[in-house]
Amino acid sequence: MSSPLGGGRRATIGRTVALTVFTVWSLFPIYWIVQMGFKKSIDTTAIPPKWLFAPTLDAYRDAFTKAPMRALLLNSLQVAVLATAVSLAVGLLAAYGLVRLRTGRAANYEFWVLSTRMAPPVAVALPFYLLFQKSQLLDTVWALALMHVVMVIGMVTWIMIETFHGLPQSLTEAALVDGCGQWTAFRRIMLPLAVPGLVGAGVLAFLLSWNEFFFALILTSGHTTAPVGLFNFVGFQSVDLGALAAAATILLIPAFVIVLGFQKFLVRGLTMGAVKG
Amino acid sequence: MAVTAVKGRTWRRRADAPGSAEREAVRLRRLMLTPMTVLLLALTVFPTLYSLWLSLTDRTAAGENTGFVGLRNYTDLFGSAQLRHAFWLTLVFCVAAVVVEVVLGFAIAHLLHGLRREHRVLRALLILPMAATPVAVLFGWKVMLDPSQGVLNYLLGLIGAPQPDWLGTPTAAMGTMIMVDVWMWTPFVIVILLGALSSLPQELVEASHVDGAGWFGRLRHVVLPHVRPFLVLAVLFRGIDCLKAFDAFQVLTAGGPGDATTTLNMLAYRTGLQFLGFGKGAAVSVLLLAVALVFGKVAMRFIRREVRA
Repeated sequence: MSSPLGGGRRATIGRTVALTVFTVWSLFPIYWIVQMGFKKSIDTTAIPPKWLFAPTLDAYRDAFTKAPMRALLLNSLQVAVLATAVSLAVGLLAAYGLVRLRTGRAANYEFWVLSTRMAPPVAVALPFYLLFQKSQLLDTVWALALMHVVMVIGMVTWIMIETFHGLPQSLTEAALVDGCGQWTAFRRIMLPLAVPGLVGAGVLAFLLSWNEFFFALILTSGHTTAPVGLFNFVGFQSVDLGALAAAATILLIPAFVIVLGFQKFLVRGLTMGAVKG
Repeated sequence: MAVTAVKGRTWRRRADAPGSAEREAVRLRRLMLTPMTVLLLALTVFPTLYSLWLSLTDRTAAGENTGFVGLRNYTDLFGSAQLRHAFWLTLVFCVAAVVVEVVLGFAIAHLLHGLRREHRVLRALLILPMAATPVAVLFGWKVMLDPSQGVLNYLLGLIGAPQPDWLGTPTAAMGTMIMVDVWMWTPFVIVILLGALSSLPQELVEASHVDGAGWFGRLRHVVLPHVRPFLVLAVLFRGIDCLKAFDAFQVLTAGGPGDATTTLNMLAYRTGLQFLGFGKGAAVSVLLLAVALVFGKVAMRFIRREVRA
């Protein structure tokens, strides 16, 4: 398959150069954080930079001893797991209801679900800040997880809708003829087939919650997540840049995993199904 | 809940009565949608109505003499230079970032599309900026952008280029915000357009070769008409997200220097949540919500009509 605009050998060279430049531009900031985490603290901001160095794990030790990285990561994990579980459960049921048992008005409902992606978080955060303050839920993982559900529910439901659309309807018909109830047809036949989509949606929901900063900054302080922890430590003299870079690198691990293994769902989820991945 | 309520009837014969399966289906559908409906009412309708109400009060964190003030927050806002400035900054940021992202994204998608094998690996690598934890990579940007100790100015110095104070002056700071957004989100446009290009009928391309169309002619008459809906989609999605952009602003500039990067979203955050002027902040966020909803409505209608059809 050649490029639709064509071109000869000179175009091929030009393309290689342009793509190389763009790849370097895209990856350099990530490379820069990761390498900083493996440097000795005096070398982290040395100018000229030390391009070659003997890697050390000192910064990683500091991130866990001098900064409460363990607690922060645990909070992040709790929030992400909770938010993922709730949005998967609710999104799965709703998607099946919308697709398999279709009656009128489904399209309007679908777009109501999707509109959660459009609302600016600040318009959601302000009312909930006051509500959580009143109900003593401020600074808990529960409150934050609930906000993350708002953020991911649209994408999760969308992926599940697409998944169910892709499954053969005839299977359920056959089950119904054999005397299965509607619920059994869902539980025994469709749910197992939808597992890949469910995994993809779950992984994406986890990543978005893990990466989230705005709600965590507003709604939590003592029991905050790792991104807010990292943000709070930037600029403190007591924690050096190397330790922060190490912490940042740990935060990036889910993103690396997803890009390597779940690219398809990331693409599909973020583009709302416009691209199949 | 929904599960136990239905379980008792699972093995009932479908043939019992005509239409019973149909009725069961409708009931199950209703049950399955209930949690979502409750969630959506609580998480979208409640905050919208509460925001509207808040914006009509002068509520602050001090909280005592709070009451209904009618439209005063709005009239105050529309009279203030601060809001006009924030509007202007939002417009500049969104337009510049989206234009660069779409043009650059189209170019790169186009170059990637021609590749045979490296395609998937390279796409995976290029997706990293938008999958990575924003605060983590923004911390990296902050270190790199440091005017005296940052690697960026060191590299620019090596080739004798000017070394700007990236986040220090109002104009440079806005430019830097646009640059970082372009870094993070051009991959999104690339991914959408790669999808569009891969569905471009090869016969069309070949036919245009036979007809002797040049590079530009092919771009204008074959490629662009085909990818147009996807381009619009990318613009809409990026436009909506730019309105809500927060992380980079908070980590890199916190809206400064001064208020040089205080967009509408930052203004809502600063007045409402940082300085705890709930009433005023709510008014700004309602304005932002209105803009986002208009955009969102257009986007939804568009997806429904052109992309999913």
